[in-house]
Amino acid sequence: MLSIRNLTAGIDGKEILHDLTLSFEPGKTHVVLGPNGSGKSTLAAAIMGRPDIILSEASELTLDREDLRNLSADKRAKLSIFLSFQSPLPIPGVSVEELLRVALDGKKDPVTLHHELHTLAKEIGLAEEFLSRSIHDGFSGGERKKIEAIQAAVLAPSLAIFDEIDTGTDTDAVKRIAEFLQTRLSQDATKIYITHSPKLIELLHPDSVIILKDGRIAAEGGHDLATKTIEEGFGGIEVRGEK
Amino acid sequence: MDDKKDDLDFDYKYGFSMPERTVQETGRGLSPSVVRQISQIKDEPQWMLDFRLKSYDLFNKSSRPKWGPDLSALDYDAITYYKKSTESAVKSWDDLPPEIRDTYDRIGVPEAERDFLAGVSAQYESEVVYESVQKELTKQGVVFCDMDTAVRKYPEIVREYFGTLVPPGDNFSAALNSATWSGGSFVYVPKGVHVTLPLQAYFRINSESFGQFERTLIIADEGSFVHYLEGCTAPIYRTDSLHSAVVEIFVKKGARVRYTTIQNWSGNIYNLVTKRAKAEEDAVMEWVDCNLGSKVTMKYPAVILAGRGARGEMLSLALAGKGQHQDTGARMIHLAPDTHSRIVSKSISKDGGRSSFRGDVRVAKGASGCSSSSVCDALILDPDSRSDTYPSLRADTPDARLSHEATVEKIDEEKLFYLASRGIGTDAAQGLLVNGFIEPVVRDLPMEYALELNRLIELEMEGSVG
Repeated sequence: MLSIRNLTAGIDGKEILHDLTLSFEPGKTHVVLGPNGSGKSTLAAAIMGRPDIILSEASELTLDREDLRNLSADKRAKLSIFLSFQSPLPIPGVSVEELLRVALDGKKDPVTLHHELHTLAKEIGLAEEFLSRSIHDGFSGGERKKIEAIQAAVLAPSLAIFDEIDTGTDTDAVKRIAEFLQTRLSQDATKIYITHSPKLIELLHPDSVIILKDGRIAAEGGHDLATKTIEEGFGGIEVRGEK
Repeated sequence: MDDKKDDLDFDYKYGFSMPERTVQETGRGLSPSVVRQISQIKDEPQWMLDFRLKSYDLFNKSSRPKWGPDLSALDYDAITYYKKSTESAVKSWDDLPPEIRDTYDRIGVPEAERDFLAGVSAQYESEVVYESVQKELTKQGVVFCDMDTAVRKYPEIVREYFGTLVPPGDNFSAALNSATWSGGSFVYVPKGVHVTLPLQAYFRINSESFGQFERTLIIADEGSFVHYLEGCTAPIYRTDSLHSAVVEIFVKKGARVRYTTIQNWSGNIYNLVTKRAKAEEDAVMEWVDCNLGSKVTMKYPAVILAGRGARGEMLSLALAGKGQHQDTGARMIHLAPDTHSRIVSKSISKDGGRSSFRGDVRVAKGASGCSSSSVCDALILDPDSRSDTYPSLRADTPDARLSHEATVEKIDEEKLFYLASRGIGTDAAQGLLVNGFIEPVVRDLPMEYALELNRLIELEMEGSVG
């Protein structure tokens, strides 16, 4: 279980997340909703351990009781945490296959990996050339997100965070990605989706929904909270602890 | 043991083993008598001795370049200009600097090879591979031998070409090499012959292929093809601090030559090399030049596009680490119409290293329909390191299409975080990013060299800036 207590975080001295307390249970699908600038991506990056995000002294961040705070992002990834990026940068000269070969560090032989990638690409509906091209270099939104999803499938994380896996993709791609992740990710994995997409939420049937606003938790609930929020917008939701 | 003897006989037959010599070395410093001594040891004809002596004079009269790296610490009198090649450069593995030993251990060079490369042994036992290659070459009429042998066995052809593309008066380093040269390769490929395997100086089993004043001459006759490879990724250690080489390549009508260099001299060496090729009608000359080692490298390979439709290409890669200055470049001289050239340069500067790229593209009057493109990308890994690009494009023909692009980048924190989120630590991530950066050059290397180079880059990135 990922447990967050009194998490206050900022970048360059600017506080973005204020005193969040949340827990994400294994085997469940969680959705984080919120208007632009509400701190959703910062939350995802803070869990992954982006070096420029500074947590307050009082903040607690643990995965299965293990303290993550002093672990660098690569160490957290080795504890089986994965983050799918909203706008991943191109890396010239490095293909997803090479990247994963280095990431797996000999844990999977290159031939097995090669075949696995081809199977996964076919399943998610991505042309094979994208496996050997420079990652994200000149890729469309859909191609980027599919490559992110494929990496999640190969690395088989126990905690997977998807930061807007739907943006920049068409409806068909959203459906394929959602179905792909539901099939490919472990049933026991903790899944956190940051999204704006009603379509994705409908496909995911989330077990829990969290609404962030201005860096605070505005509401928590089940699938119906998502539906209500999408219909009525974020305007009606009061931020708890304010006013 | 019998097999071994046969191999030795075989090598002698083709002139690759070193003949018996009485003189071990010339001693330190350079004088007309040292030049005479070198020529005498090699039992050279008078014309070569005259060439050396004239070059010696030119070297004495020459001035050092007023631009480029600092060469003031280079003491020409402290250098031994000729050493019997069967003598080891260092006595034992323990005499080598620890960082060199460490690199050998970590890239996993086989013991026999590394003894040779590091100068611990003057012989590298690779007769079996070498013999089959040589048999095949002989069948095709290809001549591939060391330059000393070529002067004795093929004097007419050597005399016709030697020193004509890079005359001794070209620059101070060329003059020095012309006076003191020893070893290097001679290659002649007959008309229409395509040499399928790359010719590697590595196959040649005496240490003069890694000599410090080597001289290489390649003649690719009409319609032929050859790929010549020199150097290796493993660091090469020499106690003397100067490597001065000259390479001349003649690419005849419709022929294609690719010349690949991987230079990884130890960090005490001044590496001054003059490389020039002449491409005739519809000929193609490709330089692939990777400079990883040395203290200072000055090298600006040139292609003289002398025949209509000739093409010249330069792919270059430089890694400048602590205490290193890689001053490299390319020259494309378009003398004939419809000639085309391309320059791709990638440099990496780290730990205070400095890389400079000098591009010189010229289109002569009357050479219409020419084009040239240059792309120079620099990656700087820390604030102490430096990279400069000095492009020069000159066209005396109105319709020449010349372009030059230069980029400078740093390692992107966002990319490091992305790779970290996949479980890749900072060192490995930097290695991956740097290998990605140089990929456009590395993909043109033979597979085993590409793999070794990638591995070497990974090692270089370990313990680099975080």
